[in-house]
Amino acid sequence: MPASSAEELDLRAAVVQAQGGDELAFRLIYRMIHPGLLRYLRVLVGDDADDVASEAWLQVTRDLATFRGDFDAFRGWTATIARHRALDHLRRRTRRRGESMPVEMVLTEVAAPDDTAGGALESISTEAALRLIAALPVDQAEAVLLRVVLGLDAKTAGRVLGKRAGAVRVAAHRGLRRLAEQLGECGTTEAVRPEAGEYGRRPDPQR
Amino acid sequence: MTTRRPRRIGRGDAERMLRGAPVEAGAGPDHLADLLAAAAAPARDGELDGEEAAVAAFRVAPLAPVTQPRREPMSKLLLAKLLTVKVAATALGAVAVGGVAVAASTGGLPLTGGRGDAAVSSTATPSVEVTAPSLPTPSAGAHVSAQLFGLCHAYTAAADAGAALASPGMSALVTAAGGRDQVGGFCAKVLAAQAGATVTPGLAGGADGGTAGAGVDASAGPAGVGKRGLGLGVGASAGPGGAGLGVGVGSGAGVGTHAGPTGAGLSGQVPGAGVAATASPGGLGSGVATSTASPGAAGLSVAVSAGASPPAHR
Repeated sequence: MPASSAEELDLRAAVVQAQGGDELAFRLIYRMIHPGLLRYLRVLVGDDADDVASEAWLQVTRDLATFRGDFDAFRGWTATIARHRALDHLRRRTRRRGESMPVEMVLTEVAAPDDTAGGALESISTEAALRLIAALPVDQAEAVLLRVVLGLDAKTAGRVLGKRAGAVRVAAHRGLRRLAEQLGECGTTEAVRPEAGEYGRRPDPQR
Repeated sequence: MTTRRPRRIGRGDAERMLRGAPVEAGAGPDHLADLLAAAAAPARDGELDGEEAAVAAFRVAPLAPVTQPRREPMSKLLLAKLLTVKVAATALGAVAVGGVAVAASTGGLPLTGGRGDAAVSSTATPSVEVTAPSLPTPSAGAHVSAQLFGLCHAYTAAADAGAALASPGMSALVTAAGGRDQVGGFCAKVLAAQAGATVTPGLAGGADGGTAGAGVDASAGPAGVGKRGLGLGVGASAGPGGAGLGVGVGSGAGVGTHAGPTGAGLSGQVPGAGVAATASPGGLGSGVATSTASPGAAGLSVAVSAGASPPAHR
């Protein structure tokens, strides 16, 4: 969701106005950012996305005054906050369950794919698209979401994920290829399941 | 209908798709572009349900530091007006508030309550000092004032004045008045002065009628508030047709109010930081200002800043 330069200027001004207490400016920012943030969180934490998003916005409003930068940086800043809240949430949940499952596995489990790909050919709903993306290895899923859904560039996405821009680019490209592969196979209902084919050789997706 | 077997996506195409840019026809799988577009589609029903909650959090969130103007256009408009009014208001205020304003701006409140002598500087009427019982008394002087105040009440209320004065508790009053026969006149003066005085709990209060209108000053010494040498002063002064109220905390922070010709205002004066608000004729402004007090600036340097402009005042 790239913004034109004029729009970007407006949004940057909106951030400054919101920092000064302008409620309308804040609403504009919220509407620009929240849908993507929520979708990202849905892939990370599933049904708890709304709760985690609330926590994230609470922190965003609390720390808003300290933010410095343009709107792209602001997107990245909010995404970082949301991601941290999501990881906290997953740790809590894992602890509650008494499991020692690594976060990444929980992510994969929460975002378990179902057979949505079968109906994806005609018109892909946002929900179905997110489920397909969620079925990717988590680093690819995150890279694709941050770039496509939240509109971050590779550098900003890398900052959110604590990786280099190049690593994010590679992960996102792999994710796209994998999605394309699955879509190409989606005559079968098994399309979404990860296969030990071409992608089975992929290196460990975690770092 | 596109081919079921997608062409392998090149890096350039992948990058374009990730940016949301249209991919050249045939260069990438349509379905993938559709999928990404769907994932990034505009908000749907329910996705913005949290907006009001977020806005509620936003409303109570701290604002950016004062260097970030909150409402710049308005503050700019007001500032010019305020600066004019400020001078008039502070001039008037300085007359009524007298020593308190000067003290506040010189960076150290003279702790007038504690000394009991400077609470009202430009007044013809006797000042009345009252110290709240809950706070440590700055000095015996202020304490006696409070006592005398009560004693005068008791004296005037007593059915038999002579018998009342005979009680040991009244000895202080008799002494202060300069003799039993002087008590009546003394108390009349004291109680008359009370009419113009506002007594704030915890503060020493002084009353005076300034030429600028009616004014009430109250100030407490360092011992009066806390025990860390913090002075607290309250000053209120009325200009012709206006009214004001102010609070000043010595050497730490201060708030003062002065009324302009037709409005009401609030201004702060502190060596460190102050809260200031001043009303222009017909308008109202408020802001936070940092002021550096210089001895020479006296009461006229009362910090007035509209909106949240950086420390531009005096």
